[in-house]
Amino acid sequence: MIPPDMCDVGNTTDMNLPLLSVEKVSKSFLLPGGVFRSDKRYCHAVREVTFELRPGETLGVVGESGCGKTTLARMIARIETPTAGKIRYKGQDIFAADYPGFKEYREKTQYIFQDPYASLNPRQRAGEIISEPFIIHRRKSTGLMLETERLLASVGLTPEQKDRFPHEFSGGQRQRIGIARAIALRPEIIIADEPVSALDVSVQAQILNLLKDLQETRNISYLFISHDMGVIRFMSDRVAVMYSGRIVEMGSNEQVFNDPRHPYTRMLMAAVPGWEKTAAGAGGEVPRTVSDAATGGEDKGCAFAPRCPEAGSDCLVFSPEFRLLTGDHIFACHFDRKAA
Amino acid sequence: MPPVLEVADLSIRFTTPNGIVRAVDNVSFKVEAGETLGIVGESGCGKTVLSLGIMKLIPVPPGSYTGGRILLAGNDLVPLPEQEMRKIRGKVISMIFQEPMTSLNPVFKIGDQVGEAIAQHQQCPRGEIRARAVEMLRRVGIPMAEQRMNNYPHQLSGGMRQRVMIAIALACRPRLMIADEPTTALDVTIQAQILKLIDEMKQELGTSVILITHDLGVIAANTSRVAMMYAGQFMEYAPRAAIFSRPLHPYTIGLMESLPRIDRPYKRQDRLPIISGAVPDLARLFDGCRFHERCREVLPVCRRQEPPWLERDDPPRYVRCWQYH
Repeated sequence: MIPPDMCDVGNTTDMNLPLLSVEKVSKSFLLPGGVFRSDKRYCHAVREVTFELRPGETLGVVGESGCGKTTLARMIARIETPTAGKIRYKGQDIFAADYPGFKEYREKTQYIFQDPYASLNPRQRAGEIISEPFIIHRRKSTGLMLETERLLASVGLTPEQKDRFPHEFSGGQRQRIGIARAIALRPEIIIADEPVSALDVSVQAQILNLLKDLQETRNISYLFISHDMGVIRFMSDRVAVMYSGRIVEMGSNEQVFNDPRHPYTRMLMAAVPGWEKTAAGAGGEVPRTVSDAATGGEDKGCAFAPRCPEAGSDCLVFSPEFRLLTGDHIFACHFDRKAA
Repeated sequence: MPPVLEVADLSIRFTTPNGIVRAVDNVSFKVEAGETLGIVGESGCGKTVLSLGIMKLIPVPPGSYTGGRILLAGNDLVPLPEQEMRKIRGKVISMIFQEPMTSLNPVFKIGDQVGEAIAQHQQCPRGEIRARAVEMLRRVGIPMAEQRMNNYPHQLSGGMRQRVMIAIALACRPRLMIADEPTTALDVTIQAQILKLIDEMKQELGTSVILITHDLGVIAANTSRVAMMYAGQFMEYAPRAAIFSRPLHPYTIGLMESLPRIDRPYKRQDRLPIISGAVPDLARLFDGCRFHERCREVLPVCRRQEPPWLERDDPPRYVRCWQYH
């Protein structure tokens, strides 16, 4: 890790310097207790997550519902405060009380939401929605209209559509408006939390292509969250697999998909139904274990052990440490069994 | 043996303030005993109206059956009065829905809800109803079924709730089960379990299944025949192997190509082939083919005239496209 005093805040061109570094970040929520309860119970939504996001890259985060993906994203967007750990943007702790770059960070980090119906104000016209970031950040008092039209065009909408209300658009078009709003201030990081899962299959590909086009022309880093392994495969440079609040495997796209090491990663891949597998005659092992993947509970052993087909006695007692494979491919498991 | 269900030229319309919506238009298919038919379509294509239509659960008005027949073992359901339909629903045809939490009653124990399905259609003593409900829950893979009988729906996980729904749907050993997006609300690993369960139960009880989904992957692994639905019409209908190895309709081809796949390496500069545009509004009047605005292979005739439902051989299959005329 680079100490914060050694890095220049203005330097974004250095590919080796991480844009964002997340260091052992945890988030616990206090669960509501009864009046007569003296003990406090917590839900550990995110546990000791560490990763870096480099300029212009896409980090795909994949996992099932309740694994902590969204809580992680909300902390990076500074909507939630971590209970432990640090998040640094260009070397500076964004949660430090004296963090001077707060406004800059908000400007440079934007969010694309899952539900294009809920994330646009129904009383604002498309043009107002897209130009609002400029007003909030006091940019562009002149030429605002022109810039809004340019943004609409860059996400595949027409300038005339700026006077329409969200309900006049289809789901895919609404997500385009959400994307235009996110890119308005030329952000360096976009957190995309399940941006295509509410969309129709035929529209999903259009939005994924648009996100890639924008990354190419604007050098945006994406933290791309999805539960869909195919979408993650298409979008990501690197992939982090989360389970029960922890990253259980992380590496480059090829490393994780061609050589998955964690049993959970393999289970996720086997569970994806697909015609290519049926055609080949192999179906993949279907887990038959009980499904309650509770994120709370005690912190003993590997969280995945109760569902793991390969779990040994150690797995229930000791928490696995990360193992490092070639490059920066890491996984947290007591065993290192290659995929059969 | 006659097919379990034969739907012939079925059309269902809705009268709305925005005009007449032709939600299901000239749909024909058969479901043979013990087979799984997959119906694939995007939101708003009419697949849910079709499944509710088969169950005669469409409110009339605003809905109306404007043509066609629904033959259940040779008997037409369309003119059947509501009283007769109630004897069929749950006993001969049953249904499971996308969101198990909203289809289970939150204030009744799951055991009572499974028992109710049995009591509705069979005369038997209460003790036996309970025993059969436990047996059904055990069969759908609910551990400690005896104790779980006393749980309320909120005490179960999403996957477990869907198992309860399947237990209710299959409690009377129906001839046909319609599963409308049964796994859309579930995680992938749980989805795989539920699909496997549906398949096992089908084998065990000999029930035919209509599996409705937007997910081509789900269809690929679990069906014998597949129908592609678009804007209220079937665009293609073929045996599974044929539709995946040699899709005919440009919509089917486009949809398959536009899906990112886990077995394919992608480079940064790679883009997915897309179907441009969006699903049309069904209240609009269509000239020509309903897909022509988004079609890559569009011919002049496609804009003027609706393509007929064409039969093709080797293997027997149907397609609605002028290219094959």
